[in-house]
Amino acid sequence: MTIRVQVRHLLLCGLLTTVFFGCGRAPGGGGSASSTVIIAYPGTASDMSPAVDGYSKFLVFLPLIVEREDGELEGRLARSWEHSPDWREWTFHLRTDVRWHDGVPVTARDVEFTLALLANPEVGEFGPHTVEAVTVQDDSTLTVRYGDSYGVNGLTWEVCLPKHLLQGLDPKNIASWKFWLHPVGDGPYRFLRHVPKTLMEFEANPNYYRGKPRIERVVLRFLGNAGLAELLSGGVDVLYATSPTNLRLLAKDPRFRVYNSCCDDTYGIFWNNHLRLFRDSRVRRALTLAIDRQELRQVLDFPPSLPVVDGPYTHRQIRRGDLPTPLPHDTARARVLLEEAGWFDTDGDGVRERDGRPFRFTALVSAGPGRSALAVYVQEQLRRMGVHMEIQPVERGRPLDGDFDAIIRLMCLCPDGWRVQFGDSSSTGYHNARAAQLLRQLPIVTDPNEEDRIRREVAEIFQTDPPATFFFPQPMTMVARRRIHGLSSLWRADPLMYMDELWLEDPR
Amino acid sequence: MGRYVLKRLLQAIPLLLGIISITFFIIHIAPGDPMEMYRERERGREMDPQVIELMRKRYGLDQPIPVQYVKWVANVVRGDLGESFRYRRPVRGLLAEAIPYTLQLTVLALLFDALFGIALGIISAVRQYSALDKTVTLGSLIAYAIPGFWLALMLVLLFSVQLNWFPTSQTRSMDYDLLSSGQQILDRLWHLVLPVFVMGVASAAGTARYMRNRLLEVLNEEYVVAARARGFPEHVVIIKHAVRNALIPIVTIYGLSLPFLLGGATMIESIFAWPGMGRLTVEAVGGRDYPIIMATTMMAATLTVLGNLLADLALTVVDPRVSLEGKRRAQ
Repeated sequence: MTIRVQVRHLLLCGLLTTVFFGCGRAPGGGGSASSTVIIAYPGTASDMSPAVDGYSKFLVFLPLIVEREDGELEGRLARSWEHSPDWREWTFHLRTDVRWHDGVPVTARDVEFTLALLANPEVGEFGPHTVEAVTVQDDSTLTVRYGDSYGVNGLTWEVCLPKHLLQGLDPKNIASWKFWLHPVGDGPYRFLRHVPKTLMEFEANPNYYRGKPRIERVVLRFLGNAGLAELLSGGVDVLYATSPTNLRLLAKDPRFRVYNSCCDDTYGIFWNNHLRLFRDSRVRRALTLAIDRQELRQVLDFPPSLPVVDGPYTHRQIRRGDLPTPLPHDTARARVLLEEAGWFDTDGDGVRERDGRPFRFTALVSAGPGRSALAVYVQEQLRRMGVHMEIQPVERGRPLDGDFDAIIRLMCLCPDGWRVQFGDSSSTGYHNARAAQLLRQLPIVTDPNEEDRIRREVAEIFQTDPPATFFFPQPMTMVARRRIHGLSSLWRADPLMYMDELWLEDPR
Repeated sequence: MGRYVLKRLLQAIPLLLGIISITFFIIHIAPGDPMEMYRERERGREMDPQVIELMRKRYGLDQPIPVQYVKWVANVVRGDLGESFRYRRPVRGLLAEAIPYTLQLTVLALLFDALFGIALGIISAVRQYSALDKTVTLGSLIAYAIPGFWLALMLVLLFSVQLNWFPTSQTRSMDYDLLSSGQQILDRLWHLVLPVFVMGVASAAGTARYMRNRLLEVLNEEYVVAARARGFPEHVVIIKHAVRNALIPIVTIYGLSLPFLLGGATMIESIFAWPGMGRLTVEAVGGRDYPIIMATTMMAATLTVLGNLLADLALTVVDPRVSLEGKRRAQ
């Protein structure tokens, strides 16, 4: 047989093999079977562990309490509760009709065990003062004394773990516990199977105290960056977080809906108040007034329900509409303030000067989706004011210290974060005695009404003496097929948190 | 040969130490705090600063960098590659899980490269200036020039999203457990088609071009003319005499591909959600997961050194005229 004939045979075999494989089973273009939801999960199977964060745990484990859309607390494992006047001591009365998926009843001992585990330094979920004491009165009653606001603010969505299965395991290796790969929970879904590196599957729990969920199966596929392609090809029904460009296209696709939820992370420009350029509060106020933050929200394709903020806030305040009215976009007032501070464009070059020094600075822009667009927009808005801003990209997580003029970044401003950044010995050089006094209280106040009052007052102080120009909270985005019902922006956007309340209906 | 191998391995130790030391200091000196990556928690709550400090102490990040370096080297000598910041699991375990998946891709890609690249190179050389040769040449140039990640995305868009001929990602189908053994094998192979093709096609293009040029040189050698004059069939002349000699430098190239086996699939693994070393490394770099970055760098450096050594050894086997000491033996 000649070489030519041999090569022809080889090519024919290759072609036939390709056709055989290519015409094999293929995922449907319209999504999963009618009673199953497949989610492109950005984490891994170990996310069930409290040591590694992830929302998948809410399929399998019940939290004590959750927060409703209107900000009110709603019990899950806890049937009812009372708290002391200072909100530090909470007594929970647990439901008696909840069992672990292996049939063992859930008791207060499980909650006690979970809190002790989370407070273990090896686990690192709670700080040393978050939970001061836990007292179990009986199988369905326990009292927890919290030491700081992290504890009280963290009440909602904290899940309970099975003591009878986990006691005796070494907390140091919590992330490696095999239990997370075959979890036994008390939640709306039971673990079915785990395929390493590929997927985890759950089935509806027929014994769930709220009734068997309407969606029969949930599959978490560990897809990393391949989630978008799988969504488009019908391999998944839900995709978490993709680029703004993709979101715009997906929002127009009749097969999908886009949902947004609200984080505590806040976008903002953080001025280095150590610099003479930004020491004058009139200058900082002028820069804030100069930027049209409402329009910026549109430019970034963020949902209009996302509020513009001027200072610290809680989700409660957003849900109740209890935020101070933000500073308006007022370029005329901004110009007046700059001129009062001594900044004029004397040479007509479009850039203001004072004492011969031009108003130029460099803004470091931390990496992340949409940051470039935000920075360019702000640059243009300031240019119209006669302020020249250079843009310099930097890595994500660049801290607010060291050598910088201004940083545009996302900041997760927990109670202590506000204090560190803008309170006593502020790392950004900001000084406001009243704000510092209020911010000292934030990490320790446990009364949510008092916390909201403090945050509101600080926000109002920041409106006259802004340490930074805040924009809005960061939205978390997910895309879901239209057949999934029960989700809504901003407070019911994550299907993993509300899977037991969702249902499927194929669009007509 | 044993002494030569030992000498090369001993020479490699300071080289490896230099590479990983430079990597260690660069990533630790770079601005930014790895704990910042893990400060942001679920549901928008931030981690308690005291917990962050505990984590910093746990991973030794509160120590001066030289102290961290010494501790890290001491641990590596003991075989302890540390614990991942993100996964909170030993790095050794994570690597052990990821390596087989990467090897599946890269070994098959190398085979694809070798089979198709060499075959096309031979065809192209034997049919020099024909339409086939020109097609192979043009195709090789295009395949070589196209960025691998772009090709991967385009193939996914066409064959997975539009045509649904091949899976979009991962290593197996969701209903894999319900399949028979034979079907499971086919399912695995089906999932390998696109990523292996993407990884292999550019290399095969380069191999084809190289093979063609080498073979054309060899075909003009006197011993090939002599073989033809002795009346051997053309396919014997090509395969037994010409190709065998033309393969010598290609063997060297494949020896140098050893690091590629475990590190060459970074982008492809990310695009196809392949749970291998490349994806682990990309996520580690993005998440400032220092222990994983150091471990994968060390692995890549070690494989490069070993690959060089293997290439030199293979050359002496394939070409007896070459001596390990660099002197050509008398003929």
